[in-house]
Amino acid sequence: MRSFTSQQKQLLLLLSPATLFLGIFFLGPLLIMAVYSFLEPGLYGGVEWNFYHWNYGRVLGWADGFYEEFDIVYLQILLRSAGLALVTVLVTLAFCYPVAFWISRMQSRWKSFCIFLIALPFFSSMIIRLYAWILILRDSGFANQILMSLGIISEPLDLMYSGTAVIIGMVYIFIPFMFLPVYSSVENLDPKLIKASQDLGATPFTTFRRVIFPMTLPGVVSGCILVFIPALGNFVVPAMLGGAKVVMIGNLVEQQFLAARNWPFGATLSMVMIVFMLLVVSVYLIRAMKNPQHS
Amino acid sequence: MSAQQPSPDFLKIKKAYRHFVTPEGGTVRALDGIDLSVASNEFITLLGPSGCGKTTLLNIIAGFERLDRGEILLAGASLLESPPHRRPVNTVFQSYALFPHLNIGDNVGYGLDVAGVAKKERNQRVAEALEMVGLSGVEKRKPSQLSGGQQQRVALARAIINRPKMLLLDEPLSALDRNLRGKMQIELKNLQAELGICFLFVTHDQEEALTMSDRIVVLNQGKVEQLGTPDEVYHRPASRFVTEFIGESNIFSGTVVESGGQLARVNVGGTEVVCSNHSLRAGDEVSLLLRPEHFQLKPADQVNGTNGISAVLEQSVFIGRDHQLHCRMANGQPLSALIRSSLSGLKPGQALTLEYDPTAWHVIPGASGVGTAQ
Repeated sequence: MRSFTSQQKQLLLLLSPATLFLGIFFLGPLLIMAVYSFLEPGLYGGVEWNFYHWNYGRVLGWADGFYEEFDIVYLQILLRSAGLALVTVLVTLAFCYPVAFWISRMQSRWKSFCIFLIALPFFSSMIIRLYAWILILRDSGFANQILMSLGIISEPLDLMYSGTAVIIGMVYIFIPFMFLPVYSSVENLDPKLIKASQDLGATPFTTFRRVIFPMTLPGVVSGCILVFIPALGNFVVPAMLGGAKVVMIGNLVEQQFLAARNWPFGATLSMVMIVFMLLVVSVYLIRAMKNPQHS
Repeated sequence: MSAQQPSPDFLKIKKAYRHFVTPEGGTVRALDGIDLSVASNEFITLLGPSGCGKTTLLNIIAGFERLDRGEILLAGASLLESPPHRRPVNTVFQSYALFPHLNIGDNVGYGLDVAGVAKKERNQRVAEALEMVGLSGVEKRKPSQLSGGQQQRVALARAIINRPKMLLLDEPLSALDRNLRGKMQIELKNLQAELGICFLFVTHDQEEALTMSDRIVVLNQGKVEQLGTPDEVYHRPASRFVTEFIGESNIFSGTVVESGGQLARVNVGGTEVVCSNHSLRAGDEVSLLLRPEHFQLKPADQVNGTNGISAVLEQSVFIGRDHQLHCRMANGQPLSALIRSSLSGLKPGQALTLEYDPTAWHVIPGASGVGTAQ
């Protein structure tokens, strides 16, 4: 039996709350979900304890033998969700990257103030903030009123309950998640490196390509992952701003559990989503392990 | 590099002004009318305390800051209109500023890569530059894997690989330990001679400036206090500021009592001192400077005439080859002397007579010592 040094014992003791918590509340539910995804749905919710592989077949498009024809609608929803999440990532990045540079050049008290402003939305409920967006985007909302009073449009735009509204809402919700990691890598970028690059003859664009972008890439990648994963699974924004028109994978999972009461199929959709996310993230993780100083 | 005929007006700075507004609303004159000419093969040092404007001047030459007024010409052409990446100068930064995401080879080759030099020539020149700074075969390593001294050499290799007309060095040795700094000082000087280009070196370390420079520009509050060779700056400081900044010195204010022939007698707070006569007249106010090493300790009865100052020893500090004596003169002024150490056993409270050579005194007219040396 191997014995622990007192330092190792201390470390174990200190880590045990986190280990217990994650073990019970993260691995446990994940395990239950994995098991349920292979069980037969009960008639009125719950599960029958029989091995059942049709859940996965249904996600991939095969009919389950009872209810459906071959239809890849679930894969389409997954890919559409990934597309919306990707657009959210690109828009938040395009917004946050320049702003991060701008704020990092400010005097320190203005810096703190601006970061406070970025974090400010967290102080109120997301649901309330999304209701505010409904007031802005609906036919008689502020956006249409302003555009019409300026004479830019003559009839109200159909903004609500569309992919555009969902993207606007998601970008709004996820901006802080992109901004903070991007800002921290921009802030840590030594201005002397930029000077050195210019001094050695690099044009501003070359300096960006060869120094600024590679040096801030870790923050950009962290931000992209932090936005992409919750955006992919998000169901509140599409439910409130997308209406019935925009169904994302998160809404589908919610419907399966709460409306259709098909727990195994909801669990299966969640498992497929997790595997999909792991595939996306692993591309980054493998790269990071090859170049340790980048992570 | 071919040794061309050195041009004395290679870098020409004309009436350069630059001011900054502090966050508190005050104005700092970083450059207050600087005029300077530097030769094309010169090792010139900008020396001064922090805030004297030396780094500002370097940043303006490199193109990272602008000038309020004035002109800077390099080889006859104005520098001020071109952006930093088009200027034929390169910089060695204080903290080296090596690119942490690139290996040493890519760091050194950066200037060639952005200029689009062919791979083969590029690799050869990288190897040459690294060899020149005594650091061959480290191309594949990352900056974080090198020691401070090695990073310093990489920064140097990276800056010379573009074959600049002039190299700017911003306190490059300040992060190194004392022994390594001494070694790098000599290597830098050798490298400059080998390349035959102008090195503009910025430092606040007077010892460093004296060791390496062909000429030193002493800056204070945005103005040139003195421009001269290390010998001139050390032995013939132009002002009281230069004297106090460079080396240790005894500075006395006094009034000329009598002058005639070769020598003059000056009354320094009751003590009479004999110095060379620089066309002084009785009644003139002067500042007298003498380096501590120009005193000699003599037994009282051997002192030649009046060339001695009586003082009481307060403390004697052993600093290796020499003893530093902190004394107090009869009029209460402190006096510092450096004498060859021996086992003489000097004790605090002992009365001493310190002899000097009258010609060793450096005389600056005016009590405040702001005037020009004669």
